[in-house]
Amino acid sequence: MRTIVAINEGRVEPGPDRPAAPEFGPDEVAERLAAGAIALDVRPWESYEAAHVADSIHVSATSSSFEQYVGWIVPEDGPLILVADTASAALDATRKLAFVGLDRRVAGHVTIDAWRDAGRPLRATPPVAVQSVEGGGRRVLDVRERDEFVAGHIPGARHMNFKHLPNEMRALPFAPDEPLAVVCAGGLRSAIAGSVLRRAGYRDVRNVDGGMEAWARAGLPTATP
Amino acid sequence: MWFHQEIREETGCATYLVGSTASGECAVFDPLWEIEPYVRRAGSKGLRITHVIDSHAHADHVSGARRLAAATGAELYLPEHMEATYPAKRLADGDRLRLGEVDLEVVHVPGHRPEQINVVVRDLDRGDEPWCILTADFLMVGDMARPDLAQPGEDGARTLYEVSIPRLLALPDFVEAYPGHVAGST
Repeated sequence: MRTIVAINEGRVEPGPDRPAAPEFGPDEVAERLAAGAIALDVRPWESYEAAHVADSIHVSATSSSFEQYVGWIVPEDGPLILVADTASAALDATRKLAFVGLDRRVAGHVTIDAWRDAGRPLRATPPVAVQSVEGGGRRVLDVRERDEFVAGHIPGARHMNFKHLPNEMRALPFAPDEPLAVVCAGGLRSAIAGSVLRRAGYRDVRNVDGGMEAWARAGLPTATP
Repeated sequence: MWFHQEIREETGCATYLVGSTASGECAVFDPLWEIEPYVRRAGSKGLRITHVIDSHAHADHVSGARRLAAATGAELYLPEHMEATYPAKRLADGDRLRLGEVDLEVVHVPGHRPEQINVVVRDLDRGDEPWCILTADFLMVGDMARPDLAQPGEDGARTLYEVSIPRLLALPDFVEAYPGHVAGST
């Protein structure tokens, strides 16, 4: 928010009139990531979970709150390299980021196909079914708004709004190798949260497939605080 | 007078065009970064964008005011108390802009931000009474905007209550209020 005010007051230059997200080859991307750039995966969350670049943060550009969510969770510094299905998807995402002044940080993009074809490593983190979460074995983190959590949550779930994770996840009571399940209403916000947790070093994080909506459809019990 | 509310659902932003059918001039209030929709709308009505107004230094989105003024040759207007490094005409409490039959009256409404202004719109072809007020981030649907972002919350709230709300209440009851945000802002 401070940066947006600074742009509006003229103290910081806005991005160009025509935002761009030039394509980088996978080798160059790998070098830039090693030098501190941040991979931002803007594909649908199912694609991200099927295969993603290690340590990428993920926010689906098809979400109507895309640029606001990126604003909440993106690290304060570092150029962004978008991971997208196509060049035009990367450009669309960059144009949306311009509404909140984050286009300035986009250095370029790489397509997932180019990364894969170059033989670069990908991680898979398929979601877990609500039934398996009910059976135990994973601690549950609910990342919805506080009033959604209070209205009904998975018994035993901890709560932290995904928007607050970057600043507050130190307070989570989970060990880095503890199996975790992250849940939201439908699966989009929990996918974002999962990427933030993985990037921070949590090694076994999975999304609850279909979120609390799937939990309710399965007739599973909820708790209220 | 021509009046149009432009809503961008992704961020819940509501912005406004007010134009004069008599003079062909058009004012844009709080335009977003993507300026093409305003140029298209005004153009589709045969109006020229001549006045671009920013109500305050927005914290949630990048303003398109400078870009829109540069692209159209319009005059750029900022609140008197807004900090800005770039040139603009300044609007103080009580200032009035005239576009043909359209009269825009500036009301200073500090509290959300110290510099915030609203605009009271009159269509002088209809009469002297105000028709609507563009409330930006001062008054939303069923709520007022946060007083704690640009100053201590208690100070902002006191200013809202003692200074700004009375200015709003001084308007006739029939005046319509058009806010800067609808559902969608996180």
